[in-house]
Amino acid sequence: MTAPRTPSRAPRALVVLSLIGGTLFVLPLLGLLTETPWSRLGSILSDDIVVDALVLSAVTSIAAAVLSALFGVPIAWVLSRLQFRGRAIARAIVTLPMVLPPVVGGAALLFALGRNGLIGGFLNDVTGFSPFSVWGVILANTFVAMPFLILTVEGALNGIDRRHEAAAQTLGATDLEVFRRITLPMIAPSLKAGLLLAWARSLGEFGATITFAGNLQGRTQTLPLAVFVNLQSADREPALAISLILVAISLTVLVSLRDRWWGAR
Amino acid sequence: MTEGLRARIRVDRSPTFSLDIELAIAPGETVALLGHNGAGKSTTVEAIAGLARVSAGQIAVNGRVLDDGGNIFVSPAQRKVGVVFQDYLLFDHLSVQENLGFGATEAKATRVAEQLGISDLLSMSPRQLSGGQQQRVALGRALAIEPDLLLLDEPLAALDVETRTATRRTLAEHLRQFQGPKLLITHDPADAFLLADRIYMMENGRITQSGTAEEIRQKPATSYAAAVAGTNLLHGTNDNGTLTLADHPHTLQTSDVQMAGDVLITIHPRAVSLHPAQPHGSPRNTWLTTVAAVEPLGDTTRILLAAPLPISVDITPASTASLGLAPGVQIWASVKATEIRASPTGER
Amino acid sequence: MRLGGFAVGGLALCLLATSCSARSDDDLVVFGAASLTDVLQAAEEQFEQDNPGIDVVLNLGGSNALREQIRSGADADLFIPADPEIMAEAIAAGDVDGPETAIARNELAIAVPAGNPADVQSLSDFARPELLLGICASAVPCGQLARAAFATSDIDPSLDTEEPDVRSLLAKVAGGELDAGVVYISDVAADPRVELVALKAWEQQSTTYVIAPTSGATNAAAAKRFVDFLQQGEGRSIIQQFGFGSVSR
Repeated sequence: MTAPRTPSRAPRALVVLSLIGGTLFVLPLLGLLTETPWSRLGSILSDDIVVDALVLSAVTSIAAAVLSALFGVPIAWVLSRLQFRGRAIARAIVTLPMVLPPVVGGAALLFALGRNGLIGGFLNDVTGFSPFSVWGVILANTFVAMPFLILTVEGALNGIDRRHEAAAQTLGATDLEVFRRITLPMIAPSLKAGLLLAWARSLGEFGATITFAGNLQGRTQTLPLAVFVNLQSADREPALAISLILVAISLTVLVSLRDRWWGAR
Repeated sequence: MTEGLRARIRVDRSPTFSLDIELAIAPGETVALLGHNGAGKSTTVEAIAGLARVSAGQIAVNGRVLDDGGNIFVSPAQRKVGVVFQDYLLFDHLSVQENLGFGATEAKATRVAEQLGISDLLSMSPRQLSGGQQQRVALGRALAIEPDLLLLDEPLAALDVETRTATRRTLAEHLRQFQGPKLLITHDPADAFLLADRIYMMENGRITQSGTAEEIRQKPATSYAAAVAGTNLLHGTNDNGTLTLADHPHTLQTSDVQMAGDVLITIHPRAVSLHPAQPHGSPRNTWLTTVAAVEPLGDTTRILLAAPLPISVDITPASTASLGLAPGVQIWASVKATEIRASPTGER
Repeated sequence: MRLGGFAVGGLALCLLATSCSARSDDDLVVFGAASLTDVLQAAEEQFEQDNPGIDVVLNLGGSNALREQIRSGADADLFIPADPEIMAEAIAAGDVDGPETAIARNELAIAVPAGNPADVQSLSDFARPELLLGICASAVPCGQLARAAFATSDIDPSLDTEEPDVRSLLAKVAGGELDAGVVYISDVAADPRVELVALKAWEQQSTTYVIAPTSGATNAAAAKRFVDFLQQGEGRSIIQQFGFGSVSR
């Protein structure tokens, strides 16, 4: 290697590569925009299919993010703070849905919670739970989304200065109070990031949902399902309109929340 | 004595390190645990605060057993041991008021803030505070729980030199107001000498000597105690950098110009250099003196100087030989103004 | 660094060229509806045995999706959708050369899990709200047929899912997650895990599979031979063997 006599060279290479890579993201977006039936967009967007899917997706993705936090934060805490045998395996299991094809995840959920699954029959008798319901969608979404929250929060728990927790203990705080008043506020930025990631993953979730919860307009047909099903029909315009909505919502939320939550960095 | 702290602490950390000490502190008494890093000070803090268990022994405050290495273990939350941590560990997501009130009622927090003179900081974030202010908030937070024992872990180490002396003075005042036993963990002899009634010298997990500052200075039991004791302490008054000594007909120049009035002056024995002829150059403190005594201390030799300023000087045996030092020999001594530290004495 | 650069360069060249595995002239590319999967695979094997030198390449998928690929310029010789209307539209658009040839018929049937636990007897059982019931989505032909069957029988179905294709609907019935699903009769015949409940005559709906060469077909002789094979040759008996109805000529 020679001395860096042209210091601008490496950055320029980075810029060129980043531009080439960037077209991978921009071109499909442009493709979607050019295919979109702009003149009929208003009437398509007020279509029952679109409105139902939009409402369902909003409800289920937010519910899945909240559930991911409710159970994911304790899981992250256990993984970070408790020493126990099989912790590495436990961590692998709860992050498995990140690498598992979602369709496999949905099928696995059916084998467990479907009518003929491990506990599905019992669950149905006791609670009336059926996968073909809003709850099925929320469950499938939570299954694929929670690992993102767990990983983010566990990283934060490992990263904070735990002597602050000790200090709180000496001031009389019980373990639960320490968690609520010290640990949780200290990991708040990462928790928000984890919530956002989990929500985004839920909003785009397709494979596990359609495999586990099926596809019925107004009950289990979320935005991605509506796109997929309608792309197969002769009339693709609703699919394109819904895709446009997904892009718009995602961009708006990612831009505004990212700036608000991490903008100071 | 069942009042105050009674502790026999044994912690077996690793095959190469174990802590085995006994401490007794009366109510109102401030005792310093003085030692190098690695002497076992942190382990002692953890054991007394309840953040780690003792392997054997017993820790009791006012007769209440907190840990006996067996069945009894009182959780940190139940101990009522107020801890001021080394870098204070204030909660940045809470205001000063909420930090003070973390383990106490709002009324107590307000009262402690008034006592410590930090009422005007209550609405601020700890991040906005200076080092000295942070230390007072940390002290207030520990005092607000009305602890049975106050534990201060290197309370001045996080501060820079200028603020340290000022903060040490206010800390001394505040410590006097607390009626319980106080344990000060430090590596800085100045902290121990200026803040504590009694000192435990700690080396390699053992107490090697205990006594008042004067007792340790007169009869140091180990070379570490000797090094600590060798630190020359003088009383005097500071007038814009000119120190008039109380007990000796001599003046010194210091760079600590802002510490006016009665001061305690410290000169480290290694900071003094000896010369056969009058030295030229930067040292502003140069005087002709006579060697009073020569004490070999292993790898260093301690030279005791006679009038006008009887202080200890540590030099190498080789220098002792080349300078031909022996009692009665005339020699020039010099110290840089920056090596002469002036600290407020308080009312001690 | 050097080797890595060559690897990246090679990949880039490969991507820039139209295709890394260029098509051979002897290939006959058939775009067929997903419900024909088993039939076409069996037909391919037989046809290649009878016609050495012709290599049949199958692309199986949803009829509308295949139609879309042809519109976008996909390299196809023959097109077999599950819905004559899709074919009609493709011919009208000039992407496929008419006239088309009908090669098979398919009818609806009710698939139930082995043992028929919910005792489904006819299409009218789809109005029972306590059952878990599914059909295909309206976007695919089998869903349109099912909707038409409900409409003509004046049944308001209590559905729990509309699956994106007939195979995933069949899988949910086979797994016992659904009590019944409206599928093609050929699908029930192909899957030993499900049982067939026949529709009543007045409930029945059927569709016809039609075949025609695309306007861009490059292997016309082979294409014609394959059409004949399916319409009147050995292909015809293969179609019947897989549970499809025959088409009167």
